[in-house]
Amino acid sequence: MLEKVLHKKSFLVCMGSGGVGKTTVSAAAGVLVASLGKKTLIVTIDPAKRLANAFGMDALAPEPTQVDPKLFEQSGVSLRAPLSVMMLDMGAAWDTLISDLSPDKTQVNTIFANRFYQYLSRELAGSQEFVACEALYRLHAEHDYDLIVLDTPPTVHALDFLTAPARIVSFLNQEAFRYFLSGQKSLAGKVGLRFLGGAGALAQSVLEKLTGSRFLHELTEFIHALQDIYPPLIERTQAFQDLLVSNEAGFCVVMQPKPASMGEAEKLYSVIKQNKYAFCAMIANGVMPAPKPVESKSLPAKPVGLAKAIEQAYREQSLIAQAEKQALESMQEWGVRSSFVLKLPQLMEDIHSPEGLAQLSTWL
Amino acid sequence: MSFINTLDPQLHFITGKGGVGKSTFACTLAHYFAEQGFSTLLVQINAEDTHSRYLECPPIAHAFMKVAPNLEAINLDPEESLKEYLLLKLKSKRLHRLLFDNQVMQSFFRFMPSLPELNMLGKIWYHSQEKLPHKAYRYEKIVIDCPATGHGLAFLQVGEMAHKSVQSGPIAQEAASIQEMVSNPSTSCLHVVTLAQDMPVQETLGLIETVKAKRLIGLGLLVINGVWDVLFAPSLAKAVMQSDSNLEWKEVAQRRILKEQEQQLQIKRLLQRTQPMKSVQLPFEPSGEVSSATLELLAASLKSQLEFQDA
Repeated sequence: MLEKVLHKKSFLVCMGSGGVGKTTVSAAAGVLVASLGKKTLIVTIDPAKRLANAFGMDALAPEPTQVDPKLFEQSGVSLRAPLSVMMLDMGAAWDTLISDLSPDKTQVNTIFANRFYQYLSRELAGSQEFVACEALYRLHAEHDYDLIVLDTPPTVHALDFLTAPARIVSFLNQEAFRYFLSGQKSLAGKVGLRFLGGAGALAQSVLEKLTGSRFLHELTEFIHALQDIYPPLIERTQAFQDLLVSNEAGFCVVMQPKPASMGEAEKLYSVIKQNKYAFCAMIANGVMPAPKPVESKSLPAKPVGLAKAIEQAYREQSLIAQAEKQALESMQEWGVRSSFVLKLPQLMEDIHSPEGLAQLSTWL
Repeated sequence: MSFINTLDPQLHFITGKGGVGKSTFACTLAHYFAEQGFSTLLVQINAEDTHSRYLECPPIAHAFMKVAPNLEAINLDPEESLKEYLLLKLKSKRLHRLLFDNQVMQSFFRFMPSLPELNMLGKIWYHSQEKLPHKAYRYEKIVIDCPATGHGLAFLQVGEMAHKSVQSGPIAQEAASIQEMVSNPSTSCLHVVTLAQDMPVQETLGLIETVKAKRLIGLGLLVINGVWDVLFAPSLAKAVMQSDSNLEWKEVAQRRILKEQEQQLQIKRLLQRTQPMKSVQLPFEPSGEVSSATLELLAASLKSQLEFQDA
């Protein structure tokens, strides 16, 4: 099913909350697309060793690394185009972005050394999502992949990923700070602070009292250092924002078919729709198959207790399958047509091998 | 160390990997405390409210809401917490408006590392100190449903981080007292929730090591969530595996056995590596139902395990 939707896409963005198997599904989607003859790159943020192992590597590298097609051939999936995989290093991605946009080296070093930069690039909410978009844009511009699959960072709020670029830009908005700073360096090279008007002076003194003057000084220094970078940064952000809303990008939601997970999935779906991103599929991962009915008289009489255990296992599996079926059907109420719902059956064991990924890719 | 000690502190932080059932356990523990007669507060941190489904109450927002006897709930909003903080500090509505309704100030506050988290923790700290007229604490137990692992630990360290970044002034002092509140084992403890599956177990072990190494916070319970009953004892499992593969019941039995065996293996691994942490196991609910009935069952299971291990 996924192959049809991905026909004209250059990007597939896989969204979903933590622990739903987003990384595994993204990887399987990559395998599928490469088997259809598209040159594919899988970008993940998950450093799980198991995923690396499934691609026959010890660890995923921070740059695209081609996967050995022989790994999948043994499982009956032949990769008709090269498949590469990489892990996104968030900190390094920020550093590259700043180096690229800065006019000179001294400024780069000033920024790197500033504590506010450390905070912005490593901890600020939305920062990971921002560089993930940025990395996607860069990879698209610098390489000739037919499709890039992005496994997004797990988000607390559905909106986080899609609104990250806008939020980071507003965070760095110099317009607001222009009023805040004098913008002049004194002869001693120190940067000054000035608020507009009497109310501003009052605000400044309150802030200084609350936070100490060193804090304000460092903040001022950081804002000054960013001054030259800001305009190209806005341009870049706009460019990848445009790319995400274009027809080239497709979005899918990976979810668990549990009743308790439906609220989250619905939120993600409505955010994609509201923002007019191209919705591709809801992928329900680990759907429990409904067991075929078993007659009690066919159950073994020995050893003692076996028949009872099997009956209980059967009852519970039916209950799970039933609850999941209802949960998945409820998606039609939000307007998701059943042809856009992909059900990946729960496999007997966890996926940590090329065979597992190959099997999953055929289900997609 | 007995369970009584483990659950003695006033503040109970709960964390774990995404999707393991942190909220489920937070609600269960709060329900348990309330039933024991403690005046209890259940806190969500800027979350998509999930607690109201367990408590069967209206959506929980940034306002105290009585949800059951002895139990109140709140979902903290960072901006609201900041507003309250400033109002408390500045003691003047005019000054407050000047600072808060100003776009420049908004940008400034966004720039301050960990300020939102600090304000939310600060609010928890403030209410943990509140006393009623007869001198009893307004909240004898506060259960805090923290963000998922990575973010959860960062959340517990904001006091320290904010203190480093501001260094002087009232914010720095408050950051220091918040840090003291979190790291004092007689005031606060951290319960870690996990599933008995490879990846969550891996992450849980890493989390516990980090907490120990950095002495971030006292460790409370290891909560193993979603545990399937063992239906197939080893002898039964062996009989199934050796049976004829054409039997129509084999697939159901085999699927279940593999699941049980994997879980038992992971539980063993967890228990071995987290000694001497106390642990509880919460049962898997096949219907996936989220309601106050589920909560009752889970709280009863928690209670019997606590009493059993205490005896």
